[in-house]
Amino acid sequence: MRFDWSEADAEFRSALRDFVADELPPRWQDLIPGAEPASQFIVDFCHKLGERGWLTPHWPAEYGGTEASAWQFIILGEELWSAGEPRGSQYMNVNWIGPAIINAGTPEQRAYHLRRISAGDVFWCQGFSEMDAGTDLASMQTTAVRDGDDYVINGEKVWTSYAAEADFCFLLARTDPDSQGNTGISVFLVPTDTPGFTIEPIPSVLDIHEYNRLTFDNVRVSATVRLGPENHGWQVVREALSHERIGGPRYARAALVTQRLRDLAGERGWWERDGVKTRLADAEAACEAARILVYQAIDARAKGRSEDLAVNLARVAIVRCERIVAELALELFEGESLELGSVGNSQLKTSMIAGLGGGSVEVQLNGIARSLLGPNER
Amino acid sequence: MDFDLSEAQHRRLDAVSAVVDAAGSSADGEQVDKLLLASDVLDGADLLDGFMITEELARRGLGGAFGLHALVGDLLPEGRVAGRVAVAEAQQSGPVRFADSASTLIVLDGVHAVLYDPSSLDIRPENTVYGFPFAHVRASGAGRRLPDGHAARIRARWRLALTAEIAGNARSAIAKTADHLTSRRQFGRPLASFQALRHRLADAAVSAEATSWLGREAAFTNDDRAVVRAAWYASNTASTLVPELVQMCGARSFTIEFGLHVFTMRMNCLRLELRGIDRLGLELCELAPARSAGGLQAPAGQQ
Repeated sequence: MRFDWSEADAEFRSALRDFVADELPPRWQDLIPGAEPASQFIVDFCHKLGERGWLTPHWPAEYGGTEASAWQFIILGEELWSAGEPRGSQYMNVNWIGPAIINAGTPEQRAYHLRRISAGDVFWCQGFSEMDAGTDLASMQTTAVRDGDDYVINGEKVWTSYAAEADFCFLLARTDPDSQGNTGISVFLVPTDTPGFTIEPIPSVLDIHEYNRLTFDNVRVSATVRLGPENHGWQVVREALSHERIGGPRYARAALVTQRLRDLAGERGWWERDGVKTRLADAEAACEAARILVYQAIDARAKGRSEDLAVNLARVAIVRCERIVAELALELFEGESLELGSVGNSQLKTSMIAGLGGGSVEVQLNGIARSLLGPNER
Repeated sequence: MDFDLSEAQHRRLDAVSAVVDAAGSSADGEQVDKLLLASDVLDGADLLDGFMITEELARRGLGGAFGLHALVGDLLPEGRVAGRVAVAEAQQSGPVRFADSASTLIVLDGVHAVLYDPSSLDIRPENTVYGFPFAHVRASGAGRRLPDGHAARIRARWRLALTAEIAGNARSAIAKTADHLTSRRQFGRPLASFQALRHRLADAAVSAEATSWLGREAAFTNDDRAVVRAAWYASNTASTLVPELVQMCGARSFTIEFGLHVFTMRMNCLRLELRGIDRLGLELCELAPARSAGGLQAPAGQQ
């Protein structure tokens, strides 16, 4: 057991910091990750990352990666998340959509998609949740009916992030109409400009983030866009997500906000307020707890072991730290937090998303409880 | 980074277990301490070894002082009488853990550290229910002042020991609570089938797990800020876990026969010995943060 970095990992972080310092204008430090999901700056920045193999460092070299360690993957995430996440919505492509195509794709699908993703040329969204199938994803009803060499897709997906900018949708649809639960589902890699596929924003109070409704009205796609065997999409997704359920290292961003609050405390006289130092300590410790639990999960991944429990623990700790930091920022800035674009406002919205984005935190708690108590179907 | 024990770390923990097992289940903390003090389990040990030994002894429910010795002992002058070590802050009110049986009492007074042997102390044992021996102490003779700088180092090691003890106790308290929830039936089904309880236990487990790893990392880096932060987290974990786990186990949690108290009562007094999250929070804020361009309070080697 040891807690230091290998020379290669330390050098990677150092090179990455130099790159970020050279390439990112200072304003990026003030942006909430996701605020610019697919701007031209992000496209250009991702191209530069892609040229170095840093957009998909953990991928095999033949698909545009550098076969880097799992540690470098998280180092990359930490450095970029704490710099406003200038990869925009690319994280889904590189974290698990690409790996899903590597694992389950045909040679043609790999040849078409993987280089585009690793070069930063395309954006994706995920068509998972439906109005009656969120955390209970297996209740989804969107259908894809085989018609000769095609499928015809009908249904509606909701709360989809980054869809407005996406070139492709990683879509789950039911291909066996008689199936229930997680059987009879297939994955489709659907171009968002396919006729009948419409995307509209869902108005919300989350000004830092946009959600969309995806409507599929007799969307006809070639059977060649199906990923993996028909009716076995659940296994494709499960396998893909098993390698990336930590999500973005959001604790890195929360730690940066904590540091900013500490810096501002002197200027603004916050030190005189009751409990501020203890609450800053709480925020710092929560961020560091999330970091060390994420590292535990990465260690398991690097050694090829099951990381399920470690990921569950880490996800809960990440949500906790985001909420603690957000609540502190909101209160410290008081009335200023009401202004759109303010730190307090952004942190409030971040904390509202924290326990829901990337899956409900209750799912993580269920996972931990299962490991301690066994299944609860008794 | 490597979260697995090395072979040497495994061997050392196995050696500690062998000594404890040889003492037998009827041996009390003081008897086990004597055997461990006479053994070679600390030969060549580093801080992380000391932390893990302390954590493991606590996890096993042993209320000894060997963990404190493992983390503080190397800072004490050679030639002192072998035996238990007790540590106290000069401003501390109330009884001191292990003061009745220690061969050395270390009193920390700001930047000064003074050693006392039992002959220069008035010692009055206190009867408590916190799972450790406590005694009131008052110096009746002169102590031996340690060189400048020792007080801060001893205080940091003491905090690491307390963090390790809380981590070990928390781990066992959660396991004990999990056993209770799976075996106890109410309303015709096991308590473990109620999601409200499952989620509360899971939440407690997150805190316990992070306490261990933050403490181990702090022991490895021996970084001042990391130690205070780990101590803050441990103190907070102890204060939140104890009422949660007691509530989940119900009235049974108060009984000696059930055994949860071994861990919860110890966590109660250990966090008091850490002196609470308010003091630790102030100290953490006043320590200059180790800045990192990424925003994390990076451990050594990550700057």
